Amino acid sequence: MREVWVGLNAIADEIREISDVMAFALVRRDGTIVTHGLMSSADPKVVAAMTAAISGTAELATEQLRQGRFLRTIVECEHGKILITDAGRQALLVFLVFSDANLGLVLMQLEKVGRKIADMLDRNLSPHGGSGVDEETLFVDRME
Amino acid sequence: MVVATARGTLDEALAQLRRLSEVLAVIVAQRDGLVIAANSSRRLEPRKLAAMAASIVGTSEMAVSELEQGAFREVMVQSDDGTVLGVGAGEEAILIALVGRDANVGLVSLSLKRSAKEIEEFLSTAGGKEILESLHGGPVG
Repeated sequence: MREVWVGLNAIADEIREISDVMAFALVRRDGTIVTHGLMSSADPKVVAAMTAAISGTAELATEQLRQGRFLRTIVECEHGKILITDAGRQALLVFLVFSDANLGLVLMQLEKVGRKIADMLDRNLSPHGGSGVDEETLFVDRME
Repeated sequence: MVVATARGTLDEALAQLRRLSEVLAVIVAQRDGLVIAANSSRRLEPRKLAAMAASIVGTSEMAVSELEQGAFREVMVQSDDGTVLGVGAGEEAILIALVGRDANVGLVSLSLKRSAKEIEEFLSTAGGKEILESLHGGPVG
């Protein structure tokens, strides 16, 4: 379990190095927060719940409209853009980027980091690989 | 009669958007997902798209305000075979488009935002209001 957190922290540091990324969050698909680097004014729980809701509907829409595999959701607003992509079976990765960001570059990084997290979580939390450590523990562990 | 001409204006705006390459569907919907007007390829179900897009736009707006990012502008859901775009068109409505994989998403997005402004203005006219009322079966709020 500990090594998952060490790994996630390393990835969080990596995200902080990406230019144009204002804030980020790693959330579970059920809308709970795993880890984040959000501004203090935002409530991570609310952000997690809302991004999971957006992504859930977006993935459903993609499936229902037979648009192939879901890639990402981009929400454009006055001061920036919110990018949401999946990071494995259980998690979603959220980036908040400045509106003048180089979107191509940031999306590349988002994909790269998302894959890294997916590899790590799915390896450590799979029923056969994780020696009884389930996703529930990941969340509880963090809360303590 | 007023409703008939008003419908024509909306339909014309949507037809214009449909003319852009790879635009498979454009819909004006109420924020609760009810279709006001649609122009889509035959194999698509506008009501389904409208309902889901409305819910995505609604939650996106909430997320934007939680993150204190100013006004919501647009949401894009990208997948292997295409993109769903949604923008606000005033207090009452949203404008939605479904485009194929090879569409020029930038151009569609720009045209969508421009049309959304026109539709917003239009829906606040007498004819537009009448259309909204006819959907509800009575005067709006």
